[in-house]
Amino acid sequence: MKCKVCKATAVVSLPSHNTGFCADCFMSFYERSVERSIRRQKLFTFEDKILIALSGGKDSLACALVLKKLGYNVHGLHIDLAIPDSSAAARGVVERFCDSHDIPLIIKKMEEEGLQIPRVKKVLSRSVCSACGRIKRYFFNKVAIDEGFTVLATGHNLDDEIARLFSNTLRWDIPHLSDQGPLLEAENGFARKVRPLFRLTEFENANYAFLNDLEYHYAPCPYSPGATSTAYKKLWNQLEEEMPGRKLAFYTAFLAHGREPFRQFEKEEGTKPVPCERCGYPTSVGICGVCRTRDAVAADE
Amino acid sequence: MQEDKVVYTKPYGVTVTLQPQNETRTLKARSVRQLLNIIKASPATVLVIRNNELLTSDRKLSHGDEIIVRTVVSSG
Ligand SMILES: [Zn+2]
Ligand SMILES: [Zn+2]
Repeated sequence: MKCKVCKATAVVSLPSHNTGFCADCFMSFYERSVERSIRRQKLFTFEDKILIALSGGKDSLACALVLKKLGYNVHGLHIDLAIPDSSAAARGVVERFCDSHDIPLIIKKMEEEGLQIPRVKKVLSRSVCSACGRIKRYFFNKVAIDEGFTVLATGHNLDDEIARLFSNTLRWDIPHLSDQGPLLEAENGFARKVRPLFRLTEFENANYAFLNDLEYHYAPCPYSPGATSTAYKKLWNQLEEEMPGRKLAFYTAFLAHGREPFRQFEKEEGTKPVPCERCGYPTSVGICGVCRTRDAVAADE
Repeated sequence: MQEDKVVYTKPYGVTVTLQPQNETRTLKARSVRQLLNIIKASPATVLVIRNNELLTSDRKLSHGDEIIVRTVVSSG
């Protein structure tokens, strides 16, 4: 297979775009695609102070690298969850990445917050995954607001977005359908949230990470036996193989025609978040889930 | 490369390391596509790497090649 642009031997084949690229042309294709997403969806500008959540996985690192290369003002945020055999490695990857790409890094240690995940796991009766996700989202938002960032970016890819949209659609979950998309404006105590890689698949991110020699963390979480979204991703990859381009079409058509009616409905019928009585960050009512988890961990001492 | 033709008629082996499991197997495959069929992997879910170079499905493989097949689907 030849590169579509320069006719050299292709190293990445993209059936959804009916094309293939050599290393250099793939990287320009990828970077232009991110640039176009940012511009068309009006995600942010060169004036914005962007905080990017870095887990150490390929998607978040690829996101930080491409934004840095495109000239945006990016800072990293890593949440150290204090999970044995996992967190130290992930943190090391993020530290080395930020160091070599000259990206300032904030590390938030859950041990110091009384929210180290092994302790949280101990006080919970159900799976720790949803609590862990909630804690991470809470600190992404809190650090973005406390430190004066104008935008919070995450490395969610097209496969993540499709899996979530599909899951929300299977349940006709109106609150979640109303606020899914590459941009969530700041409101009610939430920072402005963006997903600049929403048009790029996990496969494209992996290729970009590889071609840029990114070392990334890919050991699965020792507490997670595999998320349900993995089953949706598998299903969608089968569909995409038979019908190339279906993922992006499903998602962009939702943004164009599906989201707004749900948003209108939710505006009229939905509940508005209020400040947590304890910490002041948004919650549906009373004391937020993170403050309650922190109390439970402290009570267990 | 005259030798290519000779290699294809001989008993034949490509060493494949699957990541992240880090399992290694030796397979008879003449192309990346054949290799992916044998291990039942879809080309859009793995990176196929030889000597630190990415290979598309149509690339030919030769006896003695050492290939890494890295699954890219993350767990969340
Ligand atoms: Zn090219
Ligand atoms: Zn709170």
